[in-house]
Amino acid sequence: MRGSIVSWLLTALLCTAGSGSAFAQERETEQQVRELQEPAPEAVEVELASPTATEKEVEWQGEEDADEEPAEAEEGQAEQDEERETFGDRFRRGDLFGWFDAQARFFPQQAGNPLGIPPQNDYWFNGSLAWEPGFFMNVTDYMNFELILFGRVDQHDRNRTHGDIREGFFELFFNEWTLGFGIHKVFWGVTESRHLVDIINQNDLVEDFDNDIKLGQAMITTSYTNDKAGTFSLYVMSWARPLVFPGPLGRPTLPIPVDNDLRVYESRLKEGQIDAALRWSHSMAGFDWGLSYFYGTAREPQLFPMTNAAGLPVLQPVYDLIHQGGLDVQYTVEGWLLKAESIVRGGQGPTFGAVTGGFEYTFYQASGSILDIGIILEYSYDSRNNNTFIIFNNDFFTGVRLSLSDVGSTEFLVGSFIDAKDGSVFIAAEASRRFGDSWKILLEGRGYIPQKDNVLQFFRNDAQIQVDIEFHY
Amino acid sequence: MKRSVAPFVIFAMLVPALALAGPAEDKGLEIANEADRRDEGFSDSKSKMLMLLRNKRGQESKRELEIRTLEVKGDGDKSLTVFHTPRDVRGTALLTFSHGVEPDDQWLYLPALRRVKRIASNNKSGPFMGSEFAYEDLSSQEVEKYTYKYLKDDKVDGVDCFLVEQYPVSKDSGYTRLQAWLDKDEYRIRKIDFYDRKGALLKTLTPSEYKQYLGKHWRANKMNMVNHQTGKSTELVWSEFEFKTGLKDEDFTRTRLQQVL
Repeated sequence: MRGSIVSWLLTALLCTAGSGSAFAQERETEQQVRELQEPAPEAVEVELASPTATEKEVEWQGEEDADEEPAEAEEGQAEQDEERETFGDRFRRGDLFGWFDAQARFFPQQAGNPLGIPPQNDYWFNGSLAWEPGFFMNVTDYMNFELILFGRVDQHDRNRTHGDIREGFFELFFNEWTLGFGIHKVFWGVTESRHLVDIINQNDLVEDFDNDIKLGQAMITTSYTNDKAGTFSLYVMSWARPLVFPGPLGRPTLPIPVDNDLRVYESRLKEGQIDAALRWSHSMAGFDWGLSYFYGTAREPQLFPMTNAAGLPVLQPVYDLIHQGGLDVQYTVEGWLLKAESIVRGGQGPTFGAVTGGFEYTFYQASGSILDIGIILEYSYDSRNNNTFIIFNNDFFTGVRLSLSDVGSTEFLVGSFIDAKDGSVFIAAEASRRFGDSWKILLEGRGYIPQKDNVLQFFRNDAQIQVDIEFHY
Repeated sequence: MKRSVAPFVIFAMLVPALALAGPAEDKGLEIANEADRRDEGFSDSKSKMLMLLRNKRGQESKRELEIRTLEVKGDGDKSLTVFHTPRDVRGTALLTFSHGVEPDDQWLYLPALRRVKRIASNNKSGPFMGSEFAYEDLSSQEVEKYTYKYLKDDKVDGVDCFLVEQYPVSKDSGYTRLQAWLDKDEYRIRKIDFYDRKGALLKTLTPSEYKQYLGKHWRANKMNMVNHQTGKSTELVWSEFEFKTGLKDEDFTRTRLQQVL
């Protein structure tokens, strides 16, 4: 398995290496010219501490100079050889990295049956294992390649036993321009509680429903960055991934399962629909701006109840073609971060708008200690008020982050969403710390305090405690 | 500010430095300017840095970073710092546009989320990655960040030095004053004592193994910072210094922040 990936990689890299080396050689020449004009960059290195060392070093320097002169004629040839060898060298110098995760989830309450259907997920413990291996290399001075795979095996939920290519991306960069192709992840936006403008990648919902973990997206992208005008990016994408919900044995899960086999697309090309997106972003004084536009298959489906072939109630996902305009802005001054994001989306029922905004303030070294205390307050509004599945239609988010700035980067986080209309609450608390250079332990607790008729009712009994032991390499 | 005593004490200590620009102040500034002038024109640099964090019991932990700096005429330098270890923060990168007296602009890249986040830059006094170096110790050292006062001539390890006292201009600094020993030969820092907000001796920095690059720029290959109050220390070991590598403004953007590894 591993061998085949490596050989595929090699072929892919070799195919593209040619185009990169033209750049590299150009730069090589540039460098040689510069070296001729200026004194050699590695000039005399004089050891200060001991005078004897100084003498030695000067002597050695002299010897090298003497050696160098007759060899100069061969230098050009030698350097070209070096360039030819470089790909192999660079491949070997590539960085293998990643992490393993052993995860345990505990559910102290008996699973509920909000719609009178007996639950299949009434267990108190769920174990799972995950691995995210990665490989990164500079193919040339002007090209990077990154591959990140992911897989998880889950004890109960078949949908959560899943794999993904998080990244498989070539990126070329030359002065103000970049050009990338492959499978990639892109993040847009500034707020913490809800990522409205961020639309390129599908959520990895079975991994976690906090919308921070994404599936890789196939794309070709280019960007132009200029100090004065900011960054302009263009994305052309295809094969948008369907949103995978937890299965009937997942916990928490929806009371009626989502049947992805029944999914329908508005686009005649279905999954083959070509999506396009544009973004401009810029930093001016204390402001960071982002303006974006997306046209293509919605990442977030509409769900309609129906019965499947077996006559059981299921939810059918419908993927509309949408237009979405987005704006995000952050103003940074001293310890304050003021943030807002807003979208307008058409094509998914009536055109609607949504906004999230608020602030983050950090007291650094609160009361003279090494403790940093950050507080976050955000409000979300979504004009799709009558849709039960939109949890953030009118909600506050409050969060407190404590960071110890110690060797183990110890951190505590407490966050809660509060429905402004009915007072329903979702609360989560998290602690993490690194042990040694490679191990990391995360503890998390989550709870739901729903009021009547709030969508959180479905998860009322799904309070959980989660422990993750991670090994990073 | 007037209600509490501590800030008043600090203020009183700063008064001589701020109000009286006498000959000692002039000479202090002159020394700082000369040290700055001698390092001008490096254009850009690349280097690797190993941080060794040691606690009181001698337990050690490591961080490996890569640093790129671009000299900016008429403003503070631009810098890009990337982490290689610890592995859970591999690829995390920090882009800083420093601005002398004005607060720096800083962006943090979080590779797991592919997110570039503008961060507050008033966290000057906080420890950098759990080390004994504060952010302000590692940021670009611009002349305008301090006011100066020449104290006397002194010796460090038998080397003739100027002893200059420095007073941070920013109210976010964790220090009331720094005492810096610069050798008379090359204006290299030989030792710095840092005094905390209460005026007590907090840390001592000792750079060593200076090497000269391009026949001009002196860089210490080792820097040891000892915290006298906690007994912890952090050693920085620099390697693979390169100057005039051809880095440009385009290599210090939020876009490039995601591609630096």
